[in-house]
Amino acid sequence: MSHEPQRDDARRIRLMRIVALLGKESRQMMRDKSTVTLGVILPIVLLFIFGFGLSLDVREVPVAVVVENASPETRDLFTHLSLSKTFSPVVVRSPQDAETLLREGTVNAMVRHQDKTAGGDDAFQIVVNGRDSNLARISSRYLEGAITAWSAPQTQVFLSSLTDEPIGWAESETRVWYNDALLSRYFLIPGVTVLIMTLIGALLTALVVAREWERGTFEAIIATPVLPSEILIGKTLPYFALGMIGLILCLLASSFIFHVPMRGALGLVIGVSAVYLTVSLGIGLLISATLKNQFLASQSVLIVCFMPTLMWSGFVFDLKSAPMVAYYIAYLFPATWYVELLQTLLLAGNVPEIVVRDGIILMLYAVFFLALAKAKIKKSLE
Amino acid sequence: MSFRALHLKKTFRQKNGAPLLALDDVSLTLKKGTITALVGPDGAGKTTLIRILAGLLKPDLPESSNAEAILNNQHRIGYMPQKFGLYEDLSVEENMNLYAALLGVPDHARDTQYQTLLAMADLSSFRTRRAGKLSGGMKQKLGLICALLAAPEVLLLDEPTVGVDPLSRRELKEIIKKLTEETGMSVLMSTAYLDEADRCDEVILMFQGKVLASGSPQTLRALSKGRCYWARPHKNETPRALQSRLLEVTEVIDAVPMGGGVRLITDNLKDGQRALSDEQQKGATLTAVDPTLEDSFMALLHQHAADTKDKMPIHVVHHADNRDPTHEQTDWRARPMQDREIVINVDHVSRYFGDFCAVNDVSFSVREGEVFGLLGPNGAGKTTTFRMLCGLLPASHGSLFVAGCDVRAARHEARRKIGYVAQKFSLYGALSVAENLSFFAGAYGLTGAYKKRRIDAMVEDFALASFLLTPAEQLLQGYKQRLAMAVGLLHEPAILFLDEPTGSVDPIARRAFWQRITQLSDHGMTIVITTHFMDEAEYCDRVLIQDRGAMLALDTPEHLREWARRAHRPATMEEAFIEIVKRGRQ
Repeated sequence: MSHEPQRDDARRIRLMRIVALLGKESRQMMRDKSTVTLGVILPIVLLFIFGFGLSLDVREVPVAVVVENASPETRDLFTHLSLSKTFSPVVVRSPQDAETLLREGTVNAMVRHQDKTAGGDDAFQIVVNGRDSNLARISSRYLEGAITAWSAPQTQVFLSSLTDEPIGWAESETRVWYNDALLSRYFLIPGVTVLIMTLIGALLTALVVAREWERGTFEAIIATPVLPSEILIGKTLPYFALGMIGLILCLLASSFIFHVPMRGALGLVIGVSAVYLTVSLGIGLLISATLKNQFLASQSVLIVCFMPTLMWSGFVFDLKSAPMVAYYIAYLFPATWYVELLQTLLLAGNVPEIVVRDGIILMLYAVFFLALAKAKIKKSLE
Repeated sequence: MSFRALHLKKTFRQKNGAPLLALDDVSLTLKKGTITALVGPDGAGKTTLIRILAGLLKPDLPESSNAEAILNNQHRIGYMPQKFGLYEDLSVEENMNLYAALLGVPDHARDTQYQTLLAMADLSSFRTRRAGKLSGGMKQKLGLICALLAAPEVLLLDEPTVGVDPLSRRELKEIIKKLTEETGMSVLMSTAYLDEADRCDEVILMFQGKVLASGSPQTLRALSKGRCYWARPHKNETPRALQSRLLEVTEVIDAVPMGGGVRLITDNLKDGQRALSDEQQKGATLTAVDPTLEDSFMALLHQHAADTKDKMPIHVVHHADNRDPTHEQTDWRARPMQDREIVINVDHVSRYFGDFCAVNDVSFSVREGEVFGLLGPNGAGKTTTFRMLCGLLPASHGSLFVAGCDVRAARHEARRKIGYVAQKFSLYGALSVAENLSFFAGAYGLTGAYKKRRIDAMVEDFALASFLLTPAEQLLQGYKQRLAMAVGLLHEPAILFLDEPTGSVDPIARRAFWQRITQLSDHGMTIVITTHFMDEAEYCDRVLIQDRGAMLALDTPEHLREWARRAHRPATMEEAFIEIVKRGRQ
C-alpha cells in the first residue's frame, strides 16, 4: 500500500500550491490601488451616474400655454398642466411668442386652446419640437392625454347642463405592469448591475494575466511544477469574491437608495449573478491569456464586453424594437441573457420558464469560456 | 550525476512566416558542482536554450533529445528569468512563501531554509519590505534565493547580472559559488560579461544557434595565445586615437583601449607580427600580453565569419565616415583638453525627493569634445544627475549650464542642443526603422530637404539601410541601440547624453558602439554616458564616480587606476571602482 500515502502527498502539495496562489493574488489585489478603484469605487460611481444622472423619464417638460384671452377654461387647463409632474407650463400671450420660445429651445412644446366661444367646438393645437424624436413622441402623447383628461369633466359638465340626467360614459383605466410608476431607473439599475458585473469580471481579470506576462512573473511561475488548472483557480476565485462584493453593493443600493423592487427570490438573484460573473471571468482570462498585453486586453474587453453590454443587451434600448438581425445577434452576448434574467427577477418575480432557460444558457457560457481559458493558459512561452 | 541535453533543435516561426532556426543541434553537459557560463552575441540562442532546459519551450523533435525528462523535472530545476519573476506588491517573505509553496517545499523545512538563504543574500533585515521597494541588486538576490528555495539540482540563470553594478554582481556571484560548492548543484548562467564567464568552471560560446566552442576558461583563453598585445601610444596620441588607427590595420581583428594604452588581437601569429612591426615604427610601444576570454571570443567569431564567408558584420567597425575629413578633426586631436570650451557646468547641484537626498552637492564641468562617464552602483544618483543635465528633472539647489543655456531658465533651448538616448532606447516598437527616424526628425522640428538629408546620413552612418522596413521591436538589441543613437543624433546636437546604452548588447555591438563614440568625439561632439561596464570607463576622458548621492571621485581613468594601485596591486578599472566605493562608504 505504498502508493496510497503518495497520492495523499500529491494532493497535499496541490492544495498547498493553490492556497499559495490564492494568497498571493488576494494580497496583490488588495494592495493594488487600481484594482480597488475598479472593483469598488467604479461600481459606486456607475450606480450613481445611472441612478441619479441618467433618466429616460419624461419629467418637467417645459410647455408654453398660449392664452390669447384669459378665460376660466384656459386658466383651468394651465393649472391642470402645472399640477402634473410631467410638465412645467409657462403662459404666453400670443402664438408668436410661443413659437419664439420653441425656436429658442426654452420650451419643448406649445399648446394653444381656442375657446368654444370663438366658434363651435373647443380646438387644441399642439406643437412639439421634434429634435429629440423620443421625447417629442412621449411629450405629444402625454399632452394629448392630459388634455383629454382635462376636457372629460368639462364635457361632462357641458353635457349635464343640457339634460338633468346624468349620462354614463366609458372610462379607460390604464395599468402598467411591473413598473407601475413608469420609472426608468427600475430597468436602468438592474442594467447597471450587469455592467458592473461585466467590468469587474472581465476587465480586472483581463489585466491580471497580461500583467504577469509583462512583468515576467508568469515565466517564473510556469517554470515551477504548478499545473495550469491551479493557476486558473488562483486567478478566478479572488476576483469572483471581489465581483460578489460589487454585486452586493449594487443590490443594496438598488433596494435602499433607488427603491427598485425585488419581486423574485434574493437567492436566485445572487445565484444567476454568480453564474454570470463566472462567464465574465472566463472571458477576461481568455482575452488576457491570448493577448498577453495589458493595454490590448483592456481595449478588447471594452469592445467585446462593455460596449455590447451597454448598447446591445436590452439594458438601455429595448431589443424588441431592434432590427431582426440585431435582435438575434444580441442573444449571442451572455449579457443579454443576464439583463433579461435580472430585470425579470427584480421587477416581475420568479418566472420559472425564463429563469431556468436563461440560467442554463449562462451556465453553458461559463463552462465554455472557462474551458477555453484553461486551454489558453499553457505552461509554455510559445 | 550530471545533467545532459542532447541535440537540441528549435525553430521559431517569424511574423512573415519564414522559419528561424534559433538552436541548431546543441548538446551540453552540466557537471555536478560546477558553474557553466553561456556567452554569445545577441540572438545567439542563449535564452532559447535556457528556456528549453527550464521546460518553458518545447524543442523540435523532442524524442531525439531528453526533453520529456526535462519537462518532468521542473521540481529539480531552479530558474530565474531575466526579469527576476518577483511580485512587486508582495513582501520579501511573501514572495518566498509563494515560491516555496509552488516548488513544494514543506512548511516545516521553510524556516531554516529561509534563514540560511536570507542571511546569505544579506536580506534578513528586509523580510517585510515590498519587493518593489528593493534596489535592483537586492531584487536580483531575492529572485535568486526564490529560485534556490527547493534546493534544486540544476540552477538556470538568464543574464542574472544585466543592469547591476559591479558590487552587487560580485555578491551574487559569491552566493552562487558558495552554494555550488556546498550542495553540488550545477549552474548554467548566460552572461554578457566575459570577465564573469572567465571566473566560471566551464564556458560555452554560442553563435547563431550553434555552439562555437566550449571548455574551461583556460583552454578557451589558450586559443588566442601569442596573438594579444598591449600598445602604448606615443606621447601626443590618445589611446582612443591609437585604437582607431590600429583598427584600420587589416591584420588587427580587435582593439580596445585599456590601462592607458590599447589592447589588440591580431589575425594570426605571423602576419600579425609583421603588421605590428610597421606600427612600432610609428611610435607605439608593443608588449605581448596574456590572452583573456574576450580575446578568444573575438578571435573565434572572426574566424567563424571568415570560414563561413558570412555576411554578418563581425568586424562591425564602420569605416564609412562620409563627412569630409576636415581640418577641424585634426585640430581637435591636437588641442589639449584644458584649452577647450566648457560646455557643461554643474555647480553645487542637489536634488531631493521629499526628505531623500538623491544627489548631494555635485559640481563638475565637461569640455567640448570630451567623453565624460558617470559611474556608480545602483541607487548612486547617476540617473538623477543625468536627468537634471538633460532638463528632464529640475534641480533642488545649484545651477546647471548645458551648451550655454541655464537649464533652469531655458530648458527648451538647451534641449534643442542636446541628443538623448534613454536607457530602454525609447523607440516606437510597432513603427519601422524608417518611420521612427521620420517621426523623431519631425519631433525635433526638422523639415524638407534638411530632414531628408539628415535621415539619409543617419541610415548610412549606422548601416540601417537593410532594416528600414523592419518594425523596431523586431530588431536585435545591438540594432535597436544603433537606431536609438541615430534618432538622438538627427538634429546634430552639440552634446549627446547616453543612459546605459550598452546594458543589454553583446561585446561585438559594444565595440562598434564605442568606435562610433570615438568618431563623434573626434568631430567635437561632447558625450556624457552612464555605464555598468567598468572596462568601458577606459574609453572615457574623465570619469565621475558617485555613491549614495555624493561625488566620490572625478578623474581620468588612468589616475583612478593609479590611485587604487597605491593601496593595492595594479588595478583594473573594476577593482579601482570597487575600492573607491568601499572607501567612500567607510
